[in-house]
Parts: sequence; structure tokens; C-alpha cells
Amino acid sequence: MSALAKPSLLTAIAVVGLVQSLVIGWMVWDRVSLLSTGREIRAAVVPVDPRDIFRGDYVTLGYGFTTGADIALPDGARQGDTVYAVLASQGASEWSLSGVTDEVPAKLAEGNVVLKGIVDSVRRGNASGPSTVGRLRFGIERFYVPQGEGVAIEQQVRDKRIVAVLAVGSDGKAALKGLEADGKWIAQEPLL
Amino acid sequence: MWGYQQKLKTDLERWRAAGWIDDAGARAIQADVASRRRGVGLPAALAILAAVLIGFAVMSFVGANWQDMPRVLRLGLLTGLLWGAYGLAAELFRRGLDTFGHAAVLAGCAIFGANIMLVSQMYHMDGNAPDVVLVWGAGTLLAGVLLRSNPALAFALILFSVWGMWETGQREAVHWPYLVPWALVSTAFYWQRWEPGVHLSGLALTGFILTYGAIHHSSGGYETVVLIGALIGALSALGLVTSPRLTPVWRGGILYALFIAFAGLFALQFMKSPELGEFLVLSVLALALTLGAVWWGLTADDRRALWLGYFGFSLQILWVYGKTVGTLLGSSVFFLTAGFVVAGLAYFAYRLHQRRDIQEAMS
Repeated sequence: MSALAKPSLLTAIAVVGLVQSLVIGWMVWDRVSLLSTGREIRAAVVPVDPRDIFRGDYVTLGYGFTTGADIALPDGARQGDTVYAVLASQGASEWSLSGVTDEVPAKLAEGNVVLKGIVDSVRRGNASGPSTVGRLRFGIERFYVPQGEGVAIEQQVRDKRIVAVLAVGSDGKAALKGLEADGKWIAQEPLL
Repeated sequence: MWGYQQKLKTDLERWRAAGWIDDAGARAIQADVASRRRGVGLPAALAILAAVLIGFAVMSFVGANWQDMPRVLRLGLLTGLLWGAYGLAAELFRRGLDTFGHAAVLAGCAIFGANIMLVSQMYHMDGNAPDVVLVWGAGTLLAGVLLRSNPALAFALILFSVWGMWETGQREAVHWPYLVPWALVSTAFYWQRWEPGVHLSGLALTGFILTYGAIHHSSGGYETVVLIGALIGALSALGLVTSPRLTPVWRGGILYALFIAFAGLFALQFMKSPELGEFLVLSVLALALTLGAVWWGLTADDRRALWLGYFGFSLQILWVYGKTVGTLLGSSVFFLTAGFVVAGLAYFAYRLHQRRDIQEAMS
């Protein structure tokens, strides 16, 4: 028998199972509510195909508004900090980065959207430009596909225009709904 | 335990031959030791390994092609697996098969982590990865505390340490929040009176202190490490005198203090490039420390300290050799001096022993 008496042992086991299940449940609820109520936007992406040892295959998505040159960050930003990127619409699925702040902007211009991101790397900027520059990630850079199908999907979508469909909450949190190739959904799934 | 029984067997034979104990006494001593055999037996070890394997199986399942299954079914399956593990644990505890029960709890905690990763995959979440490990560690700590499960507590400490190292690597800065879960798990280990767990805490904290040194190496980080080691050593020595009830804790403290201080001194000598004079002072300090560890190991009959001393001494000598080959100092001069010093100490220790033996014989 464990150090605990029988009834309290059963209660303790039930509490552990319940709390752990609630954590999983909360994760699912958080995602499902964001995916169903968030503002839907589309953003052009470029996929590449690496692999995650624990979480199966995925396609890494490069977003036009974060690739290329270093991004100007708020002064003194450090790696791992949470920041908010304001995107300005440049067409149906084209966005440009209009600025990065350390708090959710109170007002947004018509058509703009704010994304919550994490500072991925930081370095000092040029004397003439901003003092802190770096790279960002938004937690929407991975699209998981059935194991072994990453390469096949990549071939399928080669030469096609790939667009990521995102759900964005008012706090800037973004979730990946799915991918479209030339306007057609790839591996679409119901929310639950 | 097995090693102890073997040694006892040869000792008993010797004592019997000397006429100090009779056959019946020797048999009674052996029977007593055998009946007190505790610790991890083979079945328990296999059960724990099985739990780890089941955990990995669920995690590999994550990587497998299960996209054909609707999400709600996948979630049901995951939750079912989680409750299955805890149900099994309850049944095993009820039957008095505690070690297997703890293995089932460990499997439950592994499945909990796999579930978090599966949900992340299902919803294409790619947030801050260390956060996931932190949540996993918290759930495992809860299981360890509520079910008084030492394997789960040890697993929680490993998860928290992975989280701390990951955050440290990402931010390239000391991750102070790590000390919060570390303190929680360590308290739980102490509350459980589980010595291997307390050692695991000691190791984890040692790793943290050394990481601090490495990150702040250019601004006195390793000097601080040596000071922390000295402080822990001094506090533990004080504790030995003032509060003998906690002797095992203080002895552990001295062991870790020796290790931390030596690691700091070692890094100062060989990871930075000190001036010759400073290098010599550090070398002498490091050698003195290793000899101190040997002395403490012999005096307190602490084999771990003894081995730490021997190992540290050899490492120190080897590195000094590497560093001084072809330099102004000349390795031969260094080794000759070191040789004389150690020989002198050996002679001193021998005289000390002799005097103690004479005193004991007279009293």
C-alpha cells in the first residue's frame, strides 16, 4: 500500500488525472475558441520541409512580412521577449510590417492587424538605423502533416501560390487554420 | 547493497577465523542483512523502464500517421490512455504492489506530456517550446506530491531542468525563475526523506551554479562560483557542529561544496587565461582543495569525497601538465614541487595517524 490511506489515495489519483486532463482540455478550448472567433486573414508563405522528432512531420512556413532584412525592435528588447507586430494590408494576402511595439497598440488603422510574437534573436542596429534589430516568430510557423507526406505536399504545392489562413484574436494571438494552394485547401480538418 | 553483502561475507569469515564471532552469530548477521534488503529490485527497475518505454511509445505515436482519425477521437484516445495509466496505478497500489504503482504513475506523467505535444501538433501550435516543458513538469510535480511518488518527483526535476536549460540557451542569460520549481521539488524530496532525490537536487543546483559562472565568466562568474562553494562548505561544516541531527544533509553539503569550488577553480585556471602568478595561486588552491577532499573522505569515511578528491587531483595534475609543457615554469619543476609537497603531506598524515594510534592504545 502506498504511504497514503486507501480512500485518500484514490482521491489523490483522481485529482491528478483530473488536473492533467483539464490542462489538456484548456489547451484545446483556447485553440478552438481562437480558431472559431478570431479574425480570419490570409498571408502568403513559402514552405520548407524539416522534421520534428517528437511531433511528426511538419512544413515550416516563411512569412513574407518577417523574412529578409532585420526587423526594427523596441529599444532594449531581449531574446524571448513578447512583442506585437503591426501588419498593414498590401492586397488580398500580402502584408507588410509597419512596426513592432512592446504592448498591444490601443488603436489600429483600418485594415491593419496586430500579431503577438516572440523575439527570436537580437543584435545592435547600425548607427544610422534603429538601435535594436532582430528576428521574430509568431507560433504559426509550423504546419503539421501526416508522417512522410511533407515532401509529397511540398511537391504538390510547388510552383503554386501558397497562402496560410490565420485566425487572429484581439490580443494579437494567432492560430494557423490551414493552408491554401492556388485557393484550394490542403489537409483541412474540422475544429474538433 | 549487493556489494555490501559480499564484503560482509568475507569480513564475517575473517572474524569467525579470528574467533571473535561464532557460526550462529555470523548466520544471524547475514540473515539480518538479507532481511533488510531494500531499494530497487529487478522487478521494480524493469517496471520503471517499461513505464519509460510506454511513454516513448505514445510520443512516437504522435509522429505516426493518424491524420485519418477525427480530432475528437484522437483527444478521446489520449485522455483514455491518461486515465488508463492512473486507473492501473490505483489498482496496483490497492494490491500493495507499490513499486509497480509508481511505475504506472510515471507512465501517466509521460502520457500527459505526450498529450500536450499531440494537442500542439493537432492545432499547429509552435509557441515557446520551453513553456510546454514547464507545464509538463508542473503536472508531474503535482502527481509526485499528491501520490508521494519519488519517480514522478525525480522526473519533474528533470523536466524543470530541461526547461531551465532551454530558457537559458534561448535568452543567453541566467534563468533565475528555475530556482522556484527547483525549491519546490527539493522540498518534496526532503519531505519524502528520499536521499537519492536530495542528491538529484544537489546535482541540479550545482549545474545551475556552474551555468551562472559560465554565463558571467567575463564579470567574475567563476570567482562567484568558488565563493558559493566555500560558503556552502562553511555552512555545512557549521551545521555539522551545531545540528548533528541533520548530519547526512551537512555531509552532502560538504561534498557538493567541494565539487562546486573545485569546478570554479578549474574553470578559472583553464577556461580563462590568467597571468602566471595568478595561475600558480589558483593551482595551489585547487590542489589543496582536492587534498582536503581526500582528507575529509578518510576522516569522515565518505567514499564519495575520497573519489572526488582523487579524481580532482588527477584532473588538475593532467591539465597543469598540458598547460605548462614548454612554458617558463616548465612542467618538470611544477611536478617536482607538487611531488615534494604531497610527499610531505603524506609524511605529516602518517605521523598524525601514528600519534592517534598510540593515544588509542594508551587509553
